[in-house]
Amino acid sequence: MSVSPEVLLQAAATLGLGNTEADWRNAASRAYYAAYHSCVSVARDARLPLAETGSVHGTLINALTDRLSPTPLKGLGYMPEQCRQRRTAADYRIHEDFPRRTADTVVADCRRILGKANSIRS
Amino acid sequence: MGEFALERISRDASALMSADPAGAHTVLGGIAALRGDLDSCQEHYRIALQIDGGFTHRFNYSVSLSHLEENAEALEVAYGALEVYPDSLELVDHAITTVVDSGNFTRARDLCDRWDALSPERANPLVARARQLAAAIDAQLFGEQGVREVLRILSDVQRAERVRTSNVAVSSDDAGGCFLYDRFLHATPTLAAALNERVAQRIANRSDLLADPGLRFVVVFTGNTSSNVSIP
Repeated sequence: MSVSPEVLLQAAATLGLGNTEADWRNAASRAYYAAYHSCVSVARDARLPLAETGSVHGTLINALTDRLSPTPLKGLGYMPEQCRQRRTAADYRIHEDFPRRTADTVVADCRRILGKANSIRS
Repeated sequence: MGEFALERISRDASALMSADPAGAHTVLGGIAALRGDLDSCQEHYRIALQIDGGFTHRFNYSVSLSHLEENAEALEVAYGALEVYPDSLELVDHAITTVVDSGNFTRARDLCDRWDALSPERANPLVARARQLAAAIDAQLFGEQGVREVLRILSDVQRAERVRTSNVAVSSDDAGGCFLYDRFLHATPTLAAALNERVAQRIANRSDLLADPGLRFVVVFTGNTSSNVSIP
């Protein structure tokens, strides 16, 4: 069994249709991971150095936005960082509000990340 | 507020022109801001302030400039008003918001102290965040110039789409080393995401901004699920 970023993103979008804050938090978190895996594929294609352990997310985003990276990859790299910080809020800051609009925007952001990643890879 | 309502208010204001010209120009300046017309907004407020330099006209001018995402100018107008009305809590609150929105964090300290002195019993969440941002500048986590440039890109992208802000939130990680500046829009999540991609690409085109503030001060738009504004 395996799953693609597109399937993860679809699952995130479905979660986002729910009516509870837990649904919205899960939607943002799943959507971020769809974007993350999509960006990992781009970074691997470009032979960028990626960490196997530790801060794999930070390493990926730093590699994509590195000054020696091609400009399309830099633009791609900034986008998951915009989502990562909101995903951190979704998963860890449960004492703060996490509105539906944030979840919906993260899902929409991640849809664009997947589209951009696919266009870079093709 | 739709164009029909704006037109009606505009007619009402024009009818007041002889009785209260400063008030009429202030209302027309506010309407111009809601229409996204900076030149007309500035001209109406210039006339209003020539007639009457009172609190309402100064305060509304600064708020209107914020509405237009002209945050640096809004801050200067707010500071000018604070010289005349230093004890206005409403004005201090607006100035703190403008300091953050314009990336002038080191100027926040005096305003935050003023807030605490004027309203010790009323907590303002932005005060703590503004102080945290000023501390980040002092600790050289990132520079103000880079932050201002990134915020300018955010406003440019937003203005080009003529989308208005509903509110702003700034959050940080637990260590206080990375900040997310989140501008909530009167726009769909789909449009907000399109603007986020444009912002990301414009920042990516600037190696200086990827270096400073880089990923320590990240900017983003958030849409509104109930908004019926669609992507053009």
